[in-house]
Amino acid sequence: MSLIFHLFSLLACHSGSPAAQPNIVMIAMDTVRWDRTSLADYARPTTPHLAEFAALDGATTFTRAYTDAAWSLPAYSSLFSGRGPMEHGVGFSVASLDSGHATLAEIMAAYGYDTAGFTSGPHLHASTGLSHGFQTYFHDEGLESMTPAIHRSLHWLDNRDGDSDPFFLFVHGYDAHTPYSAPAAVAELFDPAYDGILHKGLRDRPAAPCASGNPTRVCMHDVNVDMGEVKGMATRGLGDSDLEHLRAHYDASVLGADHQLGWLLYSLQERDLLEDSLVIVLSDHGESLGEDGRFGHESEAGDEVFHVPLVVKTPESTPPARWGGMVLLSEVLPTLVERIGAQLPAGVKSNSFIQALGQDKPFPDSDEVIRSASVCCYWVRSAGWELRGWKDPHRLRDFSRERRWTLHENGTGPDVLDQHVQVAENLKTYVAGWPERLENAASVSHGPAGHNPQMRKMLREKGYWAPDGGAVR
Amino acid sequence: MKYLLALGVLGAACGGARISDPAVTLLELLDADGSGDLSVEELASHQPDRLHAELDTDGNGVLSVEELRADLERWDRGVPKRR
Repeated sequence: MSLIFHLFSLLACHSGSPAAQPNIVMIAMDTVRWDRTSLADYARPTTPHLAEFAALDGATTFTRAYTDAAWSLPAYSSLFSGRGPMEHGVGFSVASLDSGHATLAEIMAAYGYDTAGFTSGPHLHASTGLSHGFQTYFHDEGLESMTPAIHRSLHWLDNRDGDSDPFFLFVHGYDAHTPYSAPAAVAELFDPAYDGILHKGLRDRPAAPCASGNPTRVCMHDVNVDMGEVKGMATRGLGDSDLEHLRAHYDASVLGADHQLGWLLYSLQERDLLEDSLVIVLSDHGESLGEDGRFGHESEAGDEVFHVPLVVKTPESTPPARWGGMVLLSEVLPTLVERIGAQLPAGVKSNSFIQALGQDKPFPDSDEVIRSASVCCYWVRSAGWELRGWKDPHRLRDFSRERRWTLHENGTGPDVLDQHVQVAENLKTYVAGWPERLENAASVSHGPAGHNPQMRKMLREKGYWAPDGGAVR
Repeated sequence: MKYLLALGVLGAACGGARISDPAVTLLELLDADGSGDLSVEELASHQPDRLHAELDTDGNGVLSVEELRADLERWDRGVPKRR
């Protein structure tokens, strides 16, 4: 009897066999770090909808997913090309993705998908090559909330021609990015008693109304905290409670990003486009919140900027799963390619993680290793160790010697390289040849946007560009 | 009757987890007294009076889930990511 009921359940619970080529939705919440999400049991309720999504049938939460690079331009280049940062070189040795590198959208289009991307910001400008393959590509120039992208993507879904074809939809927003401008109704939610200098204006920069002209909006950029060093901010009157308030604002911004995610997922659900679609939710990089004495991501290293949320929901009716093996965002492309039965582009070396979908695994194997990079650093992570290679040893605050490498146990704690030299030597082999390429990172890290005066101005204001035109250190 | 029960159980199982209305989720997070709407005191802002007055479009003194949604999902939501 129970067997009959089980079979009946399987037949009745699903609208049919999953399509060989399901609709695919990729949602990117920029600048959300793993350990500040509800998926990591974070104490503040920052991502209720991401948690709901991870609890859906068919969902697999990757608890050790890492980005290939610590800022958007190379990170999305890896996500869209399936290649590591030293293979595509975008942001390190070249300014835009080689047109010879097939993108995920190009592959999808070649296999009959309608493709559309809705995004913003200079790093996803068409001139970077990341729009290749999108038949519809809408791009706002500012670092925008996901709000306009959602409006436009829903309009596209409701009005697209030939809706019998499967679609590949990419939606992206900067809600959690500096200046941590959370929706006003929740901006103070996590530190409501604070009444410090961030609300009153810094000594050298009084508080001012937001550029939107709405004085009730909270504008963290009015105190100019973008990407600056904590030390620098402290000299302008910021103490521990102020920095903790910044972290609370970041968390509120993540909650704002999660609201956008929930709105899009809920809208897909209302259109019967959620259950039978393959939906991926991810972040392109995290954010340093003072761990290394700094806020930001581009010139940082460590789990705080490389460890990101990644949840993949397939149309299959498998129970929600959590996979603790280490995966990289560049492995999304080969996974999707395998799922739709497409051919992997020549030269793509990243592995598919399709075998992990629907599977539980608590911890990575001891021999798993991934590698990533930022402007400052090349980075190797194994199950138990983290190796950082520094382009500028002065960032180590160790002016007594020219050290270029540090080793940290489990991604935290002090440098223990002197006690584990052989571990470090083994991990160094994974980034052989990277230091030389990293030397060029500053001059090309923002690609063709540098030729657009308006975008260049915005990047400089966001802390990505120093007054002399070089990247900020 | 037992078949109806079985179908009911099956329906519940098939319904499974779902994504909640995000405006309702947010209101529930802020609604400290469980009244179903937001007072000035429940609004998480360092300028709650001004924000409340702005969002309370019908002027009835409390924010409803629809007023919250209208603000969060408006086209120019006013999250100023550019200057």
